[in-house]
Amino acid sequence: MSEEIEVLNEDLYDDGEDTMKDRYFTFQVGKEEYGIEIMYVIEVIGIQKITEVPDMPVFVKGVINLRGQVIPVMDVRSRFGMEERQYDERTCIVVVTIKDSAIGLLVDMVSDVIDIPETNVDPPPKISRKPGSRFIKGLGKIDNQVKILLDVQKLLYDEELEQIASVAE
Amino acid sequence: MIDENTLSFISESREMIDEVEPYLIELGQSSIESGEVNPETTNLIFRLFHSVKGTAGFLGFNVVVKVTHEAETLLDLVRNDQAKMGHTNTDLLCRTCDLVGLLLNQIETTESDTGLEAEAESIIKELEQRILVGKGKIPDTSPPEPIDRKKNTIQTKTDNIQKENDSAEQGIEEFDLKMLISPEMLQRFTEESDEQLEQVESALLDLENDPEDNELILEAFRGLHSFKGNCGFTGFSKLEKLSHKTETILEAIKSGKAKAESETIQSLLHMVDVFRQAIAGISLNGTEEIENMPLLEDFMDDIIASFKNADPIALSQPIVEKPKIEQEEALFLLRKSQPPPRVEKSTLKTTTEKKIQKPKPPAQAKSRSIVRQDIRVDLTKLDSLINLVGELVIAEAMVTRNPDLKGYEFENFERSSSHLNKIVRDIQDMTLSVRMIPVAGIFRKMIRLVHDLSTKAGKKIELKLLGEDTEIDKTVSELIADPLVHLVRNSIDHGIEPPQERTAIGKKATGELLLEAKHEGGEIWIVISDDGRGLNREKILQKAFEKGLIQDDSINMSDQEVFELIFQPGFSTADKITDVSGRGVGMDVVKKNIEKIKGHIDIHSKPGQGLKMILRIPLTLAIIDGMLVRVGKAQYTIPLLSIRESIQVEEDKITTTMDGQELVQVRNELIPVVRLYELHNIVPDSKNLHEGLLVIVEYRDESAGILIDEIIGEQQAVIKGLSNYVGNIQGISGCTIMGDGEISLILDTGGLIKKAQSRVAA
Repeated sequence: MSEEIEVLNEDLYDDGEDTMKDRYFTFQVGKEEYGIEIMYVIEVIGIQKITEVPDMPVFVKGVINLRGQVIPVMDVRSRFGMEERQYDERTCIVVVTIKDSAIGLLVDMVSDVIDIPETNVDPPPKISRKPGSRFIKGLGKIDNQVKILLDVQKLLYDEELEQIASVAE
Repeated sequence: MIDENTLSFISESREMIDEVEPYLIELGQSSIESGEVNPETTNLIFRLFHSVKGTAGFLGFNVVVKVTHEAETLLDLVRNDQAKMGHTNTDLLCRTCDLVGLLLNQIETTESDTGLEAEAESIIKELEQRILVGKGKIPDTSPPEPIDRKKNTIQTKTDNIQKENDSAEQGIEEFDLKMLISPEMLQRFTEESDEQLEQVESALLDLENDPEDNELILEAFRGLHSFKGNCGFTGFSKLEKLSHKTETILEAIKSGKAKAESETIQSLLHMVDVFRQAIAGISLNGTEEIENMPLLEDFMDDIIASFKNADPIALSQPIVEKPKIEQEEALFLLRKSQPPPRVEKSTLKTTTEKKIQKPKPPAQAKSRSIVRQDIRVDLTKLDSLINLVGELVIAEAMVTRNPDLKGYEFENFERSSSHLNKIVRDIQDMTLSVRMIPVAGIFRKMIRLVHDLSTKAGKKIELKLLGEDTEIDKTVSELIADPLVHLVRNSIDHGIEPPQERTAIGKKATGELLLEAKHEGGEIWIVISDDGRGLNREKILQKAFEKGLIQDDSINMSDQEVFELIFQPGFSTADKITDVSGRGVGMDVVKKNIEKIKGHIDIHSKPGQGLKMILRIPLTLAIIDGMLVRVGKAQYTIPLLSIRESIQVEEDKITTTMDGQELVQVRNELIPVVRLYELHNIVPDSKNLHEGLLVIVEYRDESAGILIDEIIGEQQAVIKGLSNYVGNIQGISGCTIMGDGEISLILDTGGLIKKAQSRVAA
């Protein structure tokens, strides 16, 4: 049932956001560049003090105060199962909104906003060893580069977090 | 043209019907495939139909009510496994949805649900037939004719009236009032009318208890008279006419020609409602619309005639009266549901946004202890204002404590900045209190509900309100209004006994119903208690067993567990099903609503002595006084209410049990120690008990000592929920943003104690 609704939501988004179609917000984590659909992105802010919250999965670093709004922050590195590193002046928090709640994504560095037409997007690799691969929506090719396009929905809500949510309820 | 109630009814119902269909189909499929129906889905569909029916009933769309009522009955059978959700039923219910959709279209264009009687009748017949099949009665093709015919005649009668009504209205519309009256005048008119009607209502209600009080009659009369005058001046002729007739009745009472009997007062109160609704319509679209105008006029005339004939009971009166009372009751439910759509609307329509209304104007009546002057503000504006103020506080700190100023001494600057600081604090305090409203608003509405319901049920009930000025968040207040109506209604319907029964068992003839609001250890408690029958443990167990909710070995269940059963969907100990209660939808809704705001319901009941329900609501977005403490780098806020004391521990006062639980002796009490840093995985300054501080907190009967490094100070904290994404965390009730912009988690002492206990046990 809930799956149906999610699919429905996505359809709605796609229909309503024609101008944002095929536009991706790209950022860097580790060596690779990743892209998420621009319609999810609200703003980008610099790193700021994160208040730790107990009983969270490792990749949820805590909450920040975004002009009076308390939003959780997810470290994309640790979400991908990569080794964590010190935050520096290039570390950014990309604020995305999904299902009416805003969530901050901690990334190594933001890159650009680019258009990747659908025809240039390849399906995700079938064989993968990395635990992060389940978040891949497709591989976008542009100017000899490959951007890994992420499924924001899965990135935020896949597995563990849903379990947490269900325990909480 | 259509009044706002109808409009919101149409849009809400459409949404619901849209929502129902997929569920219906899913239900049908699963039933065909596996022979089982998902109770959750059935309940959902049931609730949606129920809501449509309720509002339609209030607005007088009888065809819709009839259709949805039948659909509901059929669904009830499905829920109880008496009917199968096969092709026939699924199809039938889907067609019912289609029909309701058509009826809604009809309502939107013509303001009445007539014109589709044939279709409605055939659907109803089919539904009735399926219901009979489900009940195991002979599935013959002849549905109970007499019932049908009776309903039919009633139907056509009201239809005619509505048609007349329509044509009358069209005549009025041609004369454009807006040409003559400016919007400002209209606005003033609606504001004043609201006040006057409030005055009339409260006087009437008091009058019922004290029919001899001339002062009250005069007060009601004065209010009504000014109202009439305003109506006439503003050109609302229908309202003027009706209010004139109402005035005549009051006049008769005033001059002693008639007595202020409760029946008469009842009718007068109903008129006040009619006026109010009409005023609401006017404030929204500037036209006066009164439903069933001819009927109302006749009704008034009958009463007046009855006075003149010195015959206290007019013949037609009881006939007209009956459906009215039910309508009034529905009105309460509707009134609750009104404010949210109104706010939504004001965000959508810029024209209505400017409108300032006084929802609860000051009342002169002596019984009103809380005098308020209100203005309606868009909630989203308020929220952004609060956020902005938060920003202001941070910005202020950034300026006055700017690192560039370090090392300099500016006497004037210091003076101005401390002045600024003070103002900013004041603004902050003030804004934070804006979102909070006293519970008086929802409590007051119960007065009327109790009055109407007790009259209807023939019971004497005294309602007591306590703690009306307890402030709760606006959103919370909206969400608890409905549950409160349900609980109060249950108390009156099922709890409090009729006077004879009460006197027979040695109770006062007048039942007592108490509503109380109070702060209790970081929560707000809304207490509803009555001195009626109380819950019958055996009866609940028996019913639950019949419905298959529990197994046979339920003897060991605690009272609380047994009472929890009444919140199960479809559970009802009432033997007969009425339009109002008994289907067991109510308590289910109560629980759902309270859970939405993360609250709990406690039930205390002693058979024969009464029932006490406590809605325990967390202080989401409420302001608390908190103590700011530090553990390592983390700062936590502990609600001051739950703190008993803070102590420094001497080493010889510590006892450690073999499972590692430390106990501290404070005076004669042994208090378990909670090492917060362990629970939250942080690094404290010191792990030694005697080097830190113990904050002794209490939750109900339990206490614990929370080990912290340092107390920073006391502060007022606005509780913010942690993001939905994060969900509920045991031991944390929310967070607050501090003056410097940092976030401090608010500890939930009850949850924390539980968490620590489960940790020791594990």
